[in-house]
Amino acid sequence: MNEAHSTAQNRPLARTSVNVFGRWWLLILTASMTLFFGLMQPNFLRANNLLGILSNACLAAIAGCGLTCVMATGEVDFSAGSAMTIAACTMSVLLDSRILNNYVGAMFVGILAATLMGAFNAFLHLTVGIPAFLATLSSSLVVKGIAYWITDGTTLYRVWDSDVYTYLGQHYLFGIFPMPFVVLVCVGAIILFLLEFTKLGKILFAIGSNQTACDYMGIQTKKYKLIAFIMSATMCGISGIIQASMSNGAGPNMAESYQLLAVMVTVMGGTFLKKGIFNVPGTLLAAVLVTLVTNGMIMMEASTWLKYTVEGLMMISSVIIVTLLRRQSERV
Amino acid sequence: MRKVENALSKQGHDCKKPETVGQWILCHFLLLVGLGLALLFYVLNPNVFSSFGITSILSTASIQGIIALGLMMELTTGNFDLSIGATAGFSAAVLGAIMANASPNWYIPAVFIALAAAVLVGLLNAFITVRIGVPAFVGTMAIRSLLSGAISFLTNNTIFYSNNWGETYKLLGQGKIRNVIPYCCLIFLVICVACYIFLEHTKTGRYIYATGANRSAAKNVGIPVVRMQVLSFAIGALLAGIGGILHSSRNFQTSVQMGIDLQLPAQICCLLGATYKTPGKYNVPGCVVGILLTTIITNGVYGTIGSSIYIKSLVEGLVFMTAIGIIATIRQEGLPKVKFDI
Repeated sequence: MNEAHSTAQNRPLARTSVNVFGRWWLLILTASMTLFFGLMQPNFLRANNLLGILSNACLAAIAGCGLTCVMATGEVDFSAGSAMTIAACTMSVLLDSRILNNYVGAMFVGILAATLMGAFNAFLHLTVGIPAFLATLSSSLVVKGIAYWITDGTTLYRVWDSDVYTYLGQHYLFGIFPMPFVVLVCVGAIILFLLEFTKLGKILFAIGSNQTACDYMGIQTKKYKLIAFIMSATMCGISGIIQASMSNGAGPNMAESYQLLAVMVTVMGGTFLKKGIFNVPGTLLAAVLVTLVTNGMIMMEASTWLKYTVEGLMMISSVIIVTLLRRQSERV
Repeated sequence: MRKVENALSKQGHDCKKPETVGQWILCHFLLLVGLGLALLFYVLNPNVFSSFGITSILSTASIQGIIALGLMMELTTGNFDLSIGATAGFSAAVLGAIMANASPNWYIPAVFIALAAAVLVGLLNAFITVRIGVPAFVGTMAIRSLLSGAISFLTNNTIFYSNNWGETYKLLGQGKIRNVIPYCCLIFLVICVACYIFLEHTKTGRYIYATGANRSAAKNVGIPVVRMQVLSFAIGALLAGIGGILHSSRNFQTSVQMGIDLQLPAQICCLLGATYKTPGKYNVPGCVVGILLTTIITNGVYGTIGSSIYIKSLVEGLVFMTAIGIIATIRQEGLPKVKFDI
């Protein structure tokens, strides 16, 4: 860990530039990418395209908000995609086979399924003792299998009255605000409040900073980690319901990319404003940036390898910046 | 399980020299489970391991085993590498791309170039993990995306094959000595023995184990921790490259999906192997038994229940979960706490 300390500490220019550029790069990049894509493809800046980007970004943003809670405790959660999938698939299967004749009820059962997955992750991590990233990797595989099983491997389209089903995904509140955005504002505000202004949030960050010290101080780290995992899975469940609503259907491989995307968005958010600490505003901004770049590349008809490469570059640079920022703040 | 471990160590016996039958069963239970499951599947469906199938199954198992050994080298120094499958796929894609445009005489130099590309990836992983200090599993996950991009570029984002590849391309993957023993199995055996001798009987191997067991203690004792980690990444990537080349040679194609498919069996096998003989410590015999068990389970399950996508995901996930659950409970200190803090 100490082998690389010579990078920033002995070179003031490097330190300042990592400090300034590293903390504001998200905003700079978002603005410049918007300009870039706007210039290359004027259709990019049209209102309905931008609103579409906003709606899509809300999926990653809501999942990222939940993940921020878990990553604040220092653990990585790779089960975002599977939680989204299981929530959407459970809801759709219940509605499709008329086991439940109530949309709201089915929605709650779907979110409950995701929450159960979060509790299972917590069980694997806290009781059995598996490191969180391995536990969530394995549980995401099992849950993906369950999702395939209950949907018989097919995508279920138009399972319910379209107006009700697509309300959360495609309706515009007061004609201008997309519903996903409204949900994001409500949910994001709650998570932001919890993380920044309540004891719960402070304890989560404390656990992430030094778990042993928390144990000695008498904080029940297991209870708080359980809460964090459950919150994360519930958020991902909500995000999955909205995704199903947006595409008017649910399938077992809808949310596969979100496994990496949610983690990436949260880590990128950690480079914003604060010194390498995960936070909600950064996550939201990162979600917008990632969706913007993806949409822009689709509009420019970029090839698939370019999409993979850009995604990898964004992830690796944000991880490196978070690492360097944190190492710096330790020297202070 | 913890009580048993305690009991074993209290009596001064570790799994290298079990004395009673009970202790022997505990040390080797992975092997016994494997044989038991093989018997079970055979009873359920006598055709599941037909003699044509056996060489095919062994070939696939050998290839997965080589990649698993590569992953094991990196796990032994304490780095969980999520990009080992993608490294294998990348190496195969490089070879495929070169051979599509060159005459078959260029096969051997092309293989060297592909393996060098794999080692370069390993060194990149080492740079990010060791020099910059990014936690290995996050850094390699990002590298995995980059590698997928590179593979997608080299294969034109399709299942890539070329008529220019010729017979030499197929030789290693599909050939057999005297029509009985596949080359893949031979290569796997050679690599196994080499890894075993390297890890157990050389000074560098001991240093690698020490680095993984307790990095700061090793550093304080004077072991060149950085060099050991870089070495483990390089060797791991090299083995993954070999595995990837054999896999693409066997299936006569390269694609992005290949890299994704190769990752999980390697992980499962390594983690299962850590429960064998030396509980909690990754070892080569464990890897071999692990790959046998993984192969038996997957082929047996597919043969009896059917191989739809959900069965695959469910079975792999459950086996993975059981493996790490067992290690987490067996090891006195559990699995190393890996957190995203630096």
